[in-house]
Order: sequence, then structure tokens, then C-alpha cells
Amino acid sequence: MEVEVSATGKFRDFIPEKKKITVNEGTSLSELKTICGITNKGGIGFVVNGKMAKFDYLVKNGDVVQFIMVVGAG
Amino acid sequence: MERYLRQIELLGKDNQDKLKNSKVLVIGTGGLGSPTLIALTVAGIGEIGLVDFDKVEIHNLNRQTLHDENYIGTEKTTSAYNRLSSLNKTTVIKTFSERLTDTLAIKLFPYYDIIIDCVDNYETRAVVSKISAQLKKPVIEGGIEGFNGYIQIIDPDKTACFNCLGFNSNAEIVRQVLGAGTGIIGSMQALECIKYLTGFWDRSYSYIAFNLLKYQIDTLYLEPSAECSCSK
Repeated sequence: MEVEVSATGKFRDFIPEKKKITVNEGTSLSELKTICGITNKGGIGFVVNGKMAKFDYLVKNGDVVQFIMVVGAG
Repeated sequence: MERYLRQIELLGKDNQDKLKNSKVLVIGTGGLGSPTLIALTVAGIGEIGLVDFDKVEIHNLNRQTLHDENYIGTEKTTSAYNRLSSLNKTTVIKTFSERLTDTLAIKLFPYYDIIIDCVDNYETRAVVSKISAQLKKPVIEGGIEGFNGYIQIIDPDKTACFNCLGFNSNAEIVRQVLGAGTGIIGSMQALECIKYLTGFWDRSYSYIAFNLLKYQIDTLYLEPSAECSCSK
């Protein structure tokens, strides 16, 4: 199945532009992050179809997924 | 009012009065807190509370522009108070030299119109998120890592709170930071606060991500998570 992925801030280093990728059914957001090559030490948030989602959400065909930066220094 | 002439031309007299009648609480007087507090003080916010338990150290001075070499070893709230008071004597500055806990947040938050979170750790962000959600107080959240930063406008019941983002308290805080970077993100937290208080925030976004190396800016409107305690 196919999902669209994009990223904000520092995660654009891994996904510079939005793109569609093919993944297996039952893929979680946490696994999708790894598939996209995102390695991060700091915080990451997941947005699916415009709403916040948790790392264990299983993506569905046609989902629009965004990886966003959270937390950081002050 | 002469000192605000240029911004009254932009915002209008009624909105300048709104700023004068506003009370803002800023948590943290460091890299983000310094530019935020300076911008809000010179803009004519009526009353500003600042919370910081820390003392000024030499390694703070590459970015924490409220403090200087004369205050090393002194409470940050002291140097912040002196600097801000010298910038605008008409703004009332109240200081709280202690770590923000649930108890202190419950005591302070009801008095203020809006909270600005400029801290550098998960624990305090979690306190701000929990108590502001309980009390339905708006928050301007911010963070920076290297050349990347973000701002989140938390409007109770309307936009995602910090907890909605599903933060992982085990994640590492990356502390690489430049004063020029915190200056931008902190100033924009102050700008979003002023926009919120004066009605200039058009609600088309509630999250802004900045890549300051490549000048990429992304905005999103994030709704509250149905699973988060802030929506219950």
C-alpha cells in the first residue's frame, strides 16, 4: 500500500520534499520513521491526515503522514 | 504613548491598550526567555511574571542576553529584573526564583492571561502542559536544536497541546545552540504572544517549524488529540 510522507524542521534532512512510498500492511508510525531513514535523538511527533497520532498507529493506504519536531533546548 | 507610536500605527490604539492591560507569565529566562522577555517588555505589556530557579553561569552568555558577566553566580531572576526594569519602567515585573512545580503552576497560572514556555527540559514542559490544560490557559511553546526550532500556539480546546504531540520523555535534549538562533525563535514566541493578545493571530496555523540553515519554514494547524487528557 502507499502512504505520503513529509517532514518539518530538522526531519527535512531525511525527507526534503513530500513523497509517496510503498509499505506493507501493519506498518506502524515508528516503523515508518525507520523506513524513511529518520534517526533522531530528540523528540518527534506524528501527524496523520492533519491529526496527531501515536507512534504505534498502523498506517493505512492513502494516509498522509508528517514527522514534526517537538521539544528541544531553551 | 509616544514610545509606542510606531507600533500603534501597526496595531492600533485599542490593541496597545490590550497589551497594557495584559499579564504574561514567562517560564525560563535563558536563551529563548531572554529575547521573548525583552520584546514583550519594550512592547508595553502591563505585567510580566518570570519564573527561573537558576543562576547565571559563564556558558549561558553566548545566548542569554538578559544576563551579563556582572551577574555570574547571581539568580537569573535578579539580572532579568534589573535589565527589564531599565528597558521599560511602566511594565510591572514580578519574579519567582524557584523551579516550576505543579503547586507553583496552580498558584501562578490563574492570574496570568497567557503562559510562554521557554524552558530546556521535558519535566517542566510537562508541568506547563498539564496545568495549563487543566486551567484552560493559552501557551506559546518553543524549542530549538542546532539550526532547527519550532513554536506551538496552544489555544485550549482548539489546538493541540504539548502533551498531544506524544512527547517521549526518554528522548535526548540536544543542547547545541547559537544565540542568533534563540534570538529568532524567542522573538517569534513574543510575536505570537502579541498576535494572540491583540487578535492578529488568524488561526490558520498552530505550529511553525524553522530550519534556519536552509530558511525553510513549515506551518501546520494541529487539532487536539482525541486521546489526550486536554480534550476530556
